[in-house]
Amino acid sequence: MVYFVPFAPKATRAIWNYVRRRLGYGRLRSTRFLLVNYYRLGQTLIDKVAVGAGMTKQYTFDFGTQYSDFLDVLNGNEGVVMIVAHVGNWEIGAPFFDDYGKKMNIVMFDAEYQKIKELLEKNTNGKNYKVIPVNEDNLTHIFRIRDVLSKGEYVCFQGDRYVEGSQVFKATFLGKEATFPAGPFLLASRLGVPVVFYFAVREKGMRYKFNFVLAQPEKRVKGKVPGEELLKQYVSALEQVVKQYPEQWFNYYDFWK
Amino acid sequence: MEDLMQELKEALIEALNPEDITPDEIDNEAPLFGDEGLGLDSIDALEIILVFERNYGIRIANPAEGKSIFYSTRTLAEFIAANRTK
Repeated sequence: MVYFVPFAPKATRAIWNYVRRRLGYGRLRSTRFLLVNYYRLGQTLIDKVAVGAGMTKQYTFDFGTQYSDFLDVLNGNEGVVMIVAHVGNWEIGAPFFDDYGKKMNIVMFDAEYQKIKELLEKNTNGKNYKVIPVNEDNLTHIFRIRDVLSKGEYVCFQGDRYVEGSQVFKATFLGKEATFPAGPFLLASRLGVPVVFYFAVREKGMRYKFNFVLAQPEKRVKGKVPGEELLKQYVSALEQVVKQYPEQWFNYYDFWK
Repeated sequence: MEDLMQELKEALIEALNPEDITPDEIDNEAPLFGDEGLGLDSIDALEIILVFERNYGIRIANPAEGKSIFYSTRTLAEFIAANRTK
């Protein structure tokens, strides 16, 4: 855990900025926070591997009081778009969705995918979710997204990471303007299926809590960029989770530059 | 085929909402995506997929084929003519 502090300076700086400026903690509290944050990261990585290997019985999972409202959506015949974030551990849900016979497909930039492909395959046997890689000049991912949705599967986007050079949206997040990727929100607003913001956070003990927020469908208004309204809803849902579980924010780059 | 291409261009303009383009200005053979031709992007591709489903009852079963079907107005029209269910 302490390994990360000196050996991942960029990540440490990003988290330091987050905790000092966005959460407004003092130096001492921030230092402690940094260690807790890395500890939590380690914990979720271990959980990811354990659950990926089928050891779900060691954990308890709390689907929240609103879960029954989502079952209709999650069990529907049409697919669902889920927008997740680098908070908590969204992968932990994949085996459960699989139990409902719904495959999860995570949309990921190809460069990122190539980096972690081997790791994913080794740790999860590629069983729990599939990856739809996005190649900048290729359209294949759009056809694949539409195809899996028409089979009733889930398509999952990371809503809080953008790639340099791609289209972005700006929104106020934790009190300051931050940059978000436009793609997931543009696509989600046009795919014609329910959109759910989904976050899984770790609680005390080996316990995970699932948060689902059903997005209000965005109406298409002339002159208004599609997706922006959806982003606002996402940011407000994300803020709530981050405020409640600040040390489970694992987005190691400077969001607010 | 000419009629279908005309109809398709009108549907595309309605769906994609490009600025000040009339159907006549779209070359049947011009690439729809990329820097040459119309320069559409992946969101536009999704709109065309939705036009396929809504207007012609077509689902593209093999995602790998998508890019070649979506090459130009002509390739779109040829695929529609061969596969339309409505």
